[in-house]
Amino acid sequence: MTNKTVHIILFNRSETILKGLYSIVNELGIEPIVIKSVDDFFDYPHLLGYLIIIIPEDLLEENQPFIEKHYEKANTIKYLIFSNTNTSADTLNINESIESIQQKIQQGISSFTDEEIHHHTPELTPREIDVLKLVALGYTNKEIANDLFISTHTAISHRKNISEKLGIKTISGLTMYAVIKQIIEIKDINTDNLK
Amino acid sequence: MSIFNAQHKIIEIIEHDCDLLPVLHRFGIKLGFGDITVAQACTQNNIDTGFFLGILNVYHSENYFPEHKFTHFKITDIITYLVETHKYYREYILPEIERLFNLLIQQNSNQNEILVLLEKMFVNFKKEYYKHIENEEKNIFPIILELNTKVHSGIPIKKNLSDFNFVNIHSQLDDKIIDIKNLLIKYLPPLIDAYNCNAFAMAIFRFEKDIKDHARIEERILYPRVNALINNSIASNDK
Repeated sequence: MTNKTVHIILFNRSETILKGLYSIVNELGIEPIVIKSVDDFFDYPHLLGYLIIIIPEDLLEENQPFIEKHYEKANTIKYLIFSNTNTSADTLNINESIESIQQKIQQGISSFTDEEIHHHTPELTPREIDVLKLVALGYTNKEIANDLFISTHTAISHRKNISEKLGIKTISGLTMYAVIKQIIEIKDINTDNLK
Repeated sequence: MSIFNAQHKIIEIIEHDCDLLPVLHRFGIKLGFGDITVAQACTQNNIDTGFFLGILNVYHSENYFPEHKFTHFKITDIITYLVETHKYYREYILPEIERLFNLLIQQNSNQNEILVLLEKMFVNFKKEYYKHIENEEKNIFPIILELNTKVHSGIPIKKNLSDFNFVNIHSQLDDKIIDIKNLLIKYLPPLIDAYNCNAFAMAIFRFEKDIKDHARIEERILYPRVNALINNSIASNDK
C-alpha cells in the first residue's frame, strides 16, 4: 500500500541551526526529525512515504549514497540544500526570511501531493465493483476468476487495488463496505462469517 | 526537542503528549507526580531509566526506533511492560470501545442494522485478541522467562528450543480493527449521535496506536533479544 506520509528531516552539525529550523518547520504543523550526526539516522530506521531532507551541500555530498540506501523503502527523497551563500528554489539560505523558507518547504510538500493526484483514482471501477460484490458474497479468488472469466492473477490484482483505494483489507471489512454502499444487501451475506 | 531525556519533568512530558499517561501507569507511575524528573521517578519506582525512556520515546514518536540502543534491555522488564499493556487492553480500552459501540447502537436507529453487524465484527476481533494475549501470557512469556533464568544461571538449554517460533499474527489482527475504524469514520453515513461517535473514533485511534507500538516492541525488541539469548547460549555450550 502506498504510504502518503511526508517526513521532514533536518541534518546539520550546528545545534543552533537545528533549533532554528526545528521551530520554522514546527510552525507548519509538522514535527521534523532532527539529525546531528550520521549515527542518528539509525534512531529512525524505517521511514516510508515522502522525505524532504534539509541538508548542507557538503553533508549531502558525503552522505547521499548512505541516506538513499538507508531509506530505500521511501517513495521519494527530495533534498533542500541549506546554504550560507547560494539562493535558489532548492536552496534555503541562512539569511533568507522565515516566510520564504516555509514557502519552499510547502512547495516541496505539494510537489509530492501533485505526484499522487496523477497516480490515484479513489473511485472503484465497474470491474472492481463486480469483484467486490463477489468477495462480499464469500467467493474465493479462484471462484471470482471463473465467474468473471478472468485469470486468478487478475482477480487478486483487482482485490489489491480495491483494498488500496478503500483502506480496507479484511474480507469482513470489504463485505461491510459493500453493504454500507448498497452494492449488496444484508440478506445476501452470511453474517456468521463476519470476523 | 522531541526526544525526552532523564532531566525532563514528568509533567512537561505529559503536557507535551497526554497519550503517554497510560504508559506511565504501566510503569507504576501514578498521577500526582508533582515536579519530579524522569530520573527521580525511575529511582522512586525502581525502574531502569534507559528502558523507561526507550519505551516512552518510541511510543511518543512513531518514527523513532533506535534498535541498537535496545539490546541491553532486560527481558524481564520488557515482559513486565507487555503484560501491563495487556491488562490495559483487557481491563480498560477494549471494554470501553464495546461500551461506546453499544451506546451508538442504542442511539442511532438510522444505521442500526449496520452498526449491529460492525459490533459483531468488533466482538469477534476482541475475542481473538484476548486469545492472542492469553496465549502469550500462558505459553510464550513463561517459556522466555524460563530460558532467561537458565541462561543467566549457566544452565545449558536444550537445542530444540532454538527453533522456537514466534507466530506473527499482529498485522492481521491490526487490519481488523483498522477496517472497523475506517468503515465507521470514512464510509458510514453520518450518525445522529455525533458526540459518542467521536468518542468512539478517538478510543479506536488510541487503541490502534497502542497495539502498533505493542507489536513493534514484541517483534523488534523482545523476539530479537530472545533469539540472541538462545544463539549465544548454544554457541557457548558448543565450545
